[in-house]
Amino acid sequence: MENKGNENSVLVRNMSRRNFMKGAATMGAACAGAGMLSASGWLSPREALADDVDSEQEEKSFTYHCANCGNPACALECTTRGGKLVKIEPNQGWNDPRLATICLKGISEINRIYSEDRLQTPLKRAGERGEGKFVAITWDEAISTVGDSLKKAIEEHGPKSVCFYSSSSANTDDGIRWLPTLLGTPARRAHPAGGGIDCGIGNGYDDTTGNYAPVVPQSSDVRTWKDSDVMVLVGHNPAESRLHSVRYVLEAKEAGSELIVVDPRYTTTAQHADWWIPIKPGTDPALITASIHHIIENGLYNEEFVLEHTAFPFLVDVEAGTYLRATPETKDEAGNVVKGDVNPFMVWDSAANAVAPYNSGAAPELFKEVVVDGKTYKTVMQLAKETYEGATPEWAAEITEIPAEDIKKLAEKYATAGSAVLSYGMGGADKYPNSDITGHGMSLLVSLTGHIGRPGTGFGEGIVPLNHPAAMGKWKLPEQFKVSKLPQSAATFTQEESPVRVLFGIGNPINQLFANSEATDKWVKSLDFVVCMNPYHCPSVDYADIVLPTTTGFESEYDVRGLQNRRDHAVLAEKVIEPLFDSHTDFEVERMLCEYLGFGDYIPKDPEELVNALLSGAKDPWKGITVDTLKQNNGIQPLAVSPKPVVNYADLKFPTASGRLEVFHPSMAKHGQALPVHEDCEEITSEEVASKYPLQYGQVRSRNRVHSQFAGTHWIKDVNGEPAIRINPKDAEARGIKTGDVVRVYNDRGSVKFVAQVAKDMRPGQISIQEGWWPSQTIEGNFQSLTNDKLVDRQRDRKYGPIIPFMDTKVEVEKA
Amino acid sequence: MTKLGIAINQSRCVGCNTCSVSCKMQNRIPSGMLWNRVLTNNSEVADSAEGEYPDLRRTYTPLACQHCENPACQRVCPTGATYKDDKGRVEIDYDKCIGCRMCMAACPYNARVFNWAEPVRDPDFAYGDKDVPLRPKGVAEKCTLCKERTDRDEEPMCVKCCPVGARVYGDLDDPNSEISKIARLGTAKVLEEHFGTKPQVRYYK
Repeated sequence: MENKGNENSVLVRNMSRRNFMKGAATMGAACAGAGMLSASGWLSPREALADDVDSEQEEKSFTYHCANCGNPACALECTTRGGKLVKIEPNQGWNDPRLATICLKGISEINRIYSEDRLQTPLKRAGERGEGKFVAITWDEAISTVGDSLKKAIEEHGPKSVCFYSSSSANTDDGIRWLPTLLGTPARRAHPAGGGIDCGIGNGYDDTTGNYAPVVPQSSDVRTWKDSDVMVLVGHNPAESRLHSVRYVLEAKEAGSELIVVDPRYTTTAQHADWWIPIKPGTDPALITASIHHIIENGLYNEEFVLEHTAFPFLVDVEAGTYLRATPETKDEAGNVVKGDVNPFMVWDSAANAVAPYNSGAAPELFKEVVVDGKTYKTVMQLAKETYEGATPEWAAEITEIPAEDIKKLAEKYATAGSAVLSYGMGGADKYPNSDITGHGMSLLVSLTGHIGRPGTGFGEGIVPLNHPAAMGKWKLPEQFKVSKLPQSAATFTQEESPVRVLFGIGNPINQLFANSEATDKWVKSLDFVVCMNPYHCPSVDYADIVLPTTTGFESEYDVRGLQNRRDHAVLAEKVIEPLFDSHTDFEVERMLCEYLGFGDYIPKDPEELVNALLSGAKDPWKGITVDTLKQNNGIQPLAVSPKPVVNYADLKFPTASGRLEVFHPSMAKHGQALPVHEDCEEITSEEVASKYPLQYGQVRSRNRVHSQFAGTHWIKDVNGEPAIRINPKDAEARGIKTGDVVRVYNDRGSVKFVAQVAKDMRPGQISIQEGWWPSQTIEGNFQSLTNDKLVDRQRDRKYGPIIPFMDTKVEVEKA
Repeated sequence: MTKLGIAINQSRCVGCNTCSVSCKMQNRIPSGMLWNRVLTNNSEVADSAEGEYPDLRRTYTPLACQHCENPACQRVCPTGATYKDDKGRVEIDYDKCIGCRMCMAACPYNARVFNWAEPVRDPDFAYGDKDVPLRPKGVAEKCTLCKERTDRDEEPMCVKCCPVGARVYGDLDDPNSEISKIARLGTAKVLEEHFGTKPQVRYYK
């Protein structure tokens, strides 16, 4: 079959006909059965020829998936035969058939839950911490050892010495729920809040809106994007990271919205863009501030919106870096924010030629500088004009390697569109040390243009159908139990003193949520006690003193496993199969620990009791929905909410002190970032580093993965192939590297070996891997040994603390 | 007459392989084998692109049996194991297949795979659709247009599971069906048209 190089020509991916067929024999070898401790024969090979389907009835059960590919989405119809999970399909019971989603990962769970990586029994460490040597123990011994260690740590070092830390879902939605409150430790950390991950852009954006959700959810339901004229996606790859919702972006494109994608690589999303803008990694703030410059200089801002809904007309004390208000009080005695109706922000009333309160009905001057009692005040807009005078598109072109004309065109398209969406992903700009500046800058773009609060507009991360308000009830613990506050982000643990002596890890936090694995290794080894709770023997487990094997989301001891609100539907999680091996649900593990510690009376006796508490305390949209009605309706029922898609901020009121978009951030004035100013990424722009390590190293999202989950799943490997680094042909040729060569990727922090793939979609000067390969899956080494963990001091004054700059990493690659 | 087919929207396809994996589940396809593969056009490496950075293009082509009107595989099959059924699907009677692999040599789409060894399935209990027959060592296999499902008036699993709605299933002999309307689009085409196999799988944008 020849490759004619035209559209009708089809080239067999990666393999000749011969290879492809031979593949069957070799891949079959590494299959189920290897390494099982207690298989008890039920996984022994069967006669391949025989019609081996049991004639017994098929059963259906319904649950939801929570591998956490952002915004829990999919509801699953599961088929079992003889107590085994045999089919997974999308639940069809949604009121919008487009919501009936599933992806290759959800389907592969049939294969994955029986993986040889499953933890089958509680384990106790038998060698050095980190060696991964264990002996099997009973649940009684495991629970009592963990319970005693928690008690001891709290008695000797106080409750802040215990850190419960979960990575993005160990495949159930439970984790540990009550123990932190009952023990008085800090609340369970789940990134983003408190771990320096996924909150980079939120760090800068949220002070503008006053709405603090570290991962800023897209403010308008993605299904309204078809009403937009322009969609700008910055470092956002939903065609890989949001398979359940990317269709709405494609539908919007079909409806005539222009899709613009800003990304260093030609991603799967970029290929669908009307306009892909390649950008040099880590330079987003330059692009954003140059766009701000262009909008202000050419009067492309929405003047009415700017005057009425933003802080641009507010006067600021230039030297002090504060807003001018009627009185200096910004916080009252109790520490609460003083609102603008009590202590108004001040504007310049051009008619009266005087300072006036912003809510007095005066027509404010947008550009003004005035001296009052010897102090200089400028409107935020005046200050912005001066601040961004030098941030020309030509200046930014040098930094971003985007032509100046394109920067202008992008700014114009966004600013002059009738309706525009600005969207970011968490794997791109968010992972650079200047991400807070990017987020802050993006809030200025939104504030200048008014693209918020209407269908087809908005800002945020991800692409989501948004839920209408529909609060569920809560399980209340007695009043005397409270979590304590830990005054530092987990991002600092590996580098600075902290009270933490015990790490209770759920999922894969150790290898996934810290950069620079050498430092993480040292820190974890210095702790008194480490617990890992997970279905799979992921890299974190090797550091545990006690390992607790948990079930996946398909297994439970109980008939009912949980309840969630997914896309305005009540979705029930039923038991699909019994716990495999000697594993227990997260719920059950926590229950056993609570019983051991004397807290058994305070928690639900089973998940159904919890679900009933959630339902009985729920607000009106849940009316009439019970566990029984859900069971009768295949586990899914729509909530009684408006069918109109959610558009937040429709009233253009923001929870800031002034009620407006407060684009000037006084808390950042001492850092010179009261208005966002571009800052280079240290490692990426260092000439000294570049002389040794010329390539930027990215860990990118992949459809084949949710972070470090699914990395070894066989069905996924059948379509994804082996772990590889991707490198542009120019960079490969310069190093004598061809596809299939084993290469070493290294810098001062570490080194790792992978197979190389020469890929044209890669930007020259940048290499990438799919994030989350386990060290056991690389040819040699841990990819996390390369990554940069240097914290930015300024960010300690940001809401979510310093972020871990995984992507500000440079490496060299050579044939191994 | 019934002429079942699938139409694939290449403007929507994101190359995720959900179709490939859902098929693998439904049909208990052995380890290392796929009936549907998602190819990256004119690329040696999956998810690469055509052109030179930054002037790039990428199109995904999900590829499985094209259920041709004029199937090359049927023409060359010595035993009649490969046949076209009354719904227009190209099927294999595994009992008649002698494993000569002439069909694989003939198929311009590389749609078939072969059980060279004892098939290993993973997990190795009876998952998937209960009605799908297991194929033994020594026979060829391929996309059946989810015969067991379509006989039950259900759509093929790949169509059901595609997360972006890039697949349409229906009867090309019904002029009012969605697939027939797509087939009449200017962008609708078949692969390797010059071979004259007349696929019932259409690609459009």
